[in-house]
Amino acid sequence: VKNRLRVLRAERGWSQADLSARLAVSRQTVNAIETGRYDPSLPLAFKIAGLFDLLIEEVFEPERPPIADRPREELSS
Amino acid sequence: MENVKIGACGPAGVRPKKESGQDLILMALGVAGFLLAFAALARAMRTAVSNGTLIPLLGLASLAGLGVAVWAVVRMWRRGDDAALMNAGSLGIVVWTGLIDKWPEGSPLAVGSALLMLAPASLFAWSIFRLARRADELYRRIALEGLAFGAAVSLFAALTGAALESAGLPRFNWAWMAAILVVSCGVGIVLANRRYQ
Repeated sequence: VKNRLRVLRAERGWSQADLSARLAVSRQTVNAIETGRYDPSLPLAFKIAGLFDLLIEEVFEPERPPIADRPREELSS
Repeated sequence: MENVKIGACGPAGVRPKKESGQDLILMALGVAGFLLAFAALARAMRTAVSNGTLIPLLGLASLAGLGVAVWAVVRMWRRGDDAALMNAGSLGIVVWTGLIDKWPEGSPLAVGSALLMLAPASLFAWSIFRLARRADELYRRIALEGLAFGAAVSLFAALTGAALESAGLPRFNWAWMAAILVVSCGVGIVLANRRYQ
């Protein structure tokens, strides 16, 4: 799962430590999510989206588009 | 920034910090030095073939090894690294395992050292529960991967030991299984932690 966490955090001028304190997780967790090494649980993903006042899909997006958005040729192959 | 409650892995630590890697190596070296020196000391005392200086030297070497290992744990503790608790428990279990068969059977020292094992084992168990309760979701995953590594290594060691024993090799001291389990869990947690840094 790709995410815009680093950009959103930078826009607000927060450090990773600031964000981790707001989310009540460790700084390592924030760093691992930003670098894509760790995908957060659904509750944490909702919490992140809520913190930035965004929808969850505005922060996170799948590596591949959902099935409904894929070209018909790709699904049939 | 408003005062936000620090969560599971706040300043108190919980997870091994970067410097903990050096301290873990220091602890392992100290434990290895202690076990080797203490085994040599016990042998020298049993056989009584040594001269007057060997036994005090080996005694000092044992104490030095133990001191280095304890110092590494104290360094972790002073940095606020909660992994120190788990490492202190591991250290106690490994040291106890080295001591347990060195006393005459049935002697007060043998019974005492056997009962002494309950202290580091309780500390290790409590540190695991504490970790599970306080860790955030990433560290729970790290801990799970570490425990899985420890379980796999212990299973492999148990099977190997049993197979070698049944093949006629000298009897394996199964008390070492606890030491293998705690040490391999610790190594597994450190390795898993590196993956997410």
